[in-house]
Amino acid sequence: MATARKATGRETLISVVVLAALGGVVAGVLVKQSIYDESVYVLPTGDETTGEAFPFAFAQPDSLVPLGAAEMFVPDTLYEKIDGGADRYLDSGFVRLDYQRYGLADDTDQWLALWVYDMGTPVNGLAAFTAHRPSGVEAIEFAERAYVSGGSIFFKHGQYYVRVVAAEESDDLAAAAMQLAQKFEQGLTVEVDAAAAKIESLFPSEGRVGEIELEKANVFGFDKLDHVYLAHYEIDGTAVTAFLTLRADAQAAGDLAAAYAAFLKGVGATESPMAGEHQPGVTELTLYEYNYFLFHKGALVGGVNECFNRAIAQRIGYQLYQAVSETDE
Amino acid sequence: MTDAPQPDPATTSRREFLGRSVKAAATVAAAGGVAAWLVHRANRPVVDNTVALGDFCVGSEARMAAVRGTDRADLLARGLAGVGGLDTYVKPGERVLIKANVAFASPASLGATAHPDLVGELVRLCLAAGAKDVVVTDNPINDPANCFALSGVGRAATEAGARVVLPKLTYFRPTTVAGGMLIKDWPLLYEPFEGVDKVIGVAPVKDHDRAVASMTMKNWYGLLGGRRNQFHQDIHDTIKELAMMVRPTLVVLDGVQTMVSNGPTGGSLADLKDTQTMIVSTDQVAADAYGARELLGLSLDELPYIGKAEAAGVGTTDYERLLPSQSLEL
Repeated sequence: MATARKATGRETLISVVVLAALGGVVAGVLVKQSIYDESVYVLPTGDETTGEAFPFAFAQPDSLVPLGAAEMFVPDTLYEKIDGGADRYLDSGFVRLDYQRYGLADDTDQWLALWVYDMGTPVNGLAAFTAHRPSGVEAIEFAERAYVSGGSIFFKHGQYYVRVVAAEESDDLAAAAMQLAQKFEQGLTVEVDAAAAKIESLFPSEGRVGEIELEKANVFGFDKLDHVYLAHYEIDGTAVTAFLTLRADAQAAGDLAAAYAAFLKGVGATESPMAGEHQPGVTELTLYEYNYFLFHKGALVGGVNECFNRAIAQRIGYQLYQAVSETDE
Repeated sequence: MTDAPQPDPATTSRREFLGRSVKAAATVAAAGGVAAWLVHRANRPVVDNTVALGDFCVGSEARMAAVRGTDRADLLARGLAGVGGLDTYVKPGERVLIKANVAFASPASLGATAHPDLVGELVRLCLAAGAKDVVVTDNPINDPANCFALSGVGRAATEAGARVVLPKLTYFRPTTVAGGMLIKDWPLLYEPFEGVDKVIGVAPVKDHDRAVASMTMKNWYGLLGGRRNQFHQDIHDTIKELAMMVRPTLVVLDGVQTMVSNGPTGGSLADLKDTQTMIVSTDQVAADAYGARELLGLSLDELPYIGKAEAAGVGTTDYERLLPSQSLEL
């Protein structure tokens, strides 16, 4: 009969070490989990931000004095400043926000704040400007795009979306806000987006109202349609929206036009018989009472979306198509 | 006599092998069990450290008033009268906490924060009702002192006789919402609630990029500490849990102007619309339902957190049932 071999001293020692290690792990878990660790909840101190401080001094007019320190926020910390409003910037390529408050030199109780959103590229800057412009505001001839509201000024300058927000409506604050905006715009050299300017120049001018907008994502409810320039028209009492978007190449443009047409057909649109000479790359569709004019030419996709009047949709659509055809892009 | 095979002392018999295997398995299982038990214990809220806000409601029947005009002090007086008068809710000697939305360092004119005129008047009325102490607080993430100063809420509250309590790290204690799934062991601005008898929320009506709208229930978000922006990933359930977390005495929803675009920060007068309405309610769900439908023109389907809060038993979306017939008056 076999007799069990007694464990050696070394084996016993190893067993004790292993069990002690296990016990240590268990104790560690217990201690860690049972202590409320405030450091888990400590907010970032601002040291996590990186990069050079924004040189606000170049934009400061004599009528204003800085109030408090400048603040800077990067994607990880933007929510600290604007919390629920952060996502719309983050979705548009936000790089950093620089913020400085100013008071009137002769009455610092009257103050305004300069918000400089660096969106990384001029296209993103335009997208941020467009996304935040309320309807019905008064556009002004300033910078690339601008509007005023209650003495505050909002403008797009290269990759920057800039807000000069007055704390209250007053002539003195409004004047100082404009001085600050002008010095900012004149003092900060920015990249000119030649491609965007070219695209914007292609939209027909007849009946156009408002500024050309840039929408970055899910345009017309179609998720593949992004970075789309929109121009609005008012022709014979009919509202018209024309659009253009630049893709990587002609193949991508053709694919996108086909995909958008398929998307419209998927929700019930039917292809309309073309009137007159058929132009290559042009498709007309009808959905309920809406008319769509869709084309691709080179690397551009464009057309007219949701127009009640087919003749007007065709008119603007063909003008846009003609302008694109004549371009050397 | 035959020689039976003798076991080799250097080898292990099958029985010995099985016995040792069983012992090893039992040891591992026991160690694992003990560890799991300890971890499970450790993950439970630590009774001595975790806090929960009490129920600050008065009475069991919900009441609500909606009044129209532009003078916030007048609207507040009429709104409070519509729910039975402030002395129904605040008794002499009580301590009152006013959670105002002071989330941003933004001037009052832009409507991103509670209006200082409204907060100041509410403080005065609470003190006039006999309140021993009125505390006004909020936890703006960025620079609370500036938020209270630039919004004008700090000055208005102080001049009216309240204590403004700005958040400090030591004021936070972990909380877990009973029946919730998201707010667990999360830091809550608790210190100002110590010894408080009544809680009143004051919030403007605002468009909100994530939540669609920010009103009285979303206002409690300002009681959370930490990297709370992660709650935006499931904002509707989070707001529901916030409403479960705080059972206020009253809420005041300021719709004199409504932020209809670019919320919750706004930034331009063009983001505001004159809606000339103030709601005073004991039911935060009803107040928000009113704000959504009547002031923002939204259907309740567009604000899932309102229905979720109602389903959780926080209140009712049937605000019309709560409104006294004479409530809406110009």
